[in-house]
Amino acid sequence: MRRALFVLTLVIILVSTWMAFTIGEVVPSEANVTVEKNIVYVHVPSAICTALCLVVVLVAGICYLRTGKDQWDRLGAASAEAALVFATVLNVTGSIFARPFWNTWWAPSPRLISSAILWFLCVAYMILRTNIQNPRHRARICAVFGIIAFLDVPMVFVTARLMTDQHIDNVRFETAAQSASFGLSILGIVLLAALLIWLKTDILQSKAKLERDLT
Amino acid sequence: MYYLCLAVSVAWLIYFGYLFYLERQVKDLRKRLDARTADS
Repeated sequence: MRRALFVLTLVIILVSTWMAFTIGEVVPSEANVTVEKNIVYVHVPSAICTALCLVVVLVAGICYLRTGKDQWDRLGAASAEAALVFATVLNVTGSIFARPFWNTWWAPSPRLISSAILWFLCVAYMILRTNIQNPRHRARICAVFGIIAFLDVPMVFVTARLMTDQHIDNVRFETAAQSASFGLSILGIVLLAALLIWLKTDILQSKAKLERDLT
Repeated sequence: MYYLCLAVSVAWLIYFGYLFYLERQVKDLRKRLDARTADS
């Protein structure tokens, strides 16, 4: 089952990447922007996936605090790690995106700052997880921290609308092929996120079982 | 095209780097499970 999902994900990502390079030429809403627009096929799906992973962290955190079941803690930890991976891709591809547009790798724009804060929150979650030894204590603190970290997600999306921001607002897809390419790239990355969370949850479950058996 | 290639390469590098890290964790777990089975 997992192998089939992996192959499906790989095929979708490969096809969407090929489409981004060939038929996916897109036009941003700003008339003066004429270069390197196709990075949206990598950048936007990773932003959506970071948000989705943090939604899972939020739900897992709330469920853990309500039920106290370890499976929610493991799901939260796996999702936070996946969120860190996608937030890294989001910030790195954002920098690569910024270079041809603004002639700089990074600018103090509200959306860029809130995205960077999101990445640091994911790192802080991982640091918390590795440094607290007591499993119950660790699970409770990480659940609360995950809920707090999620609060930055709406900030990333809202800041660009509420404040003056040089970040590109939206892109216009002119053909069905472009929309299909964009939809495929989002589907591929969402499937990859699901796969990574599934794999990591299983690893954490096996580790917990092994440690329980040893003690 | 240069920046798109760079973005795609970096994204794939990060995804596969993380998958490689997960695979190493699975191998390590398998090794520990085998050692436990051999002990018992």
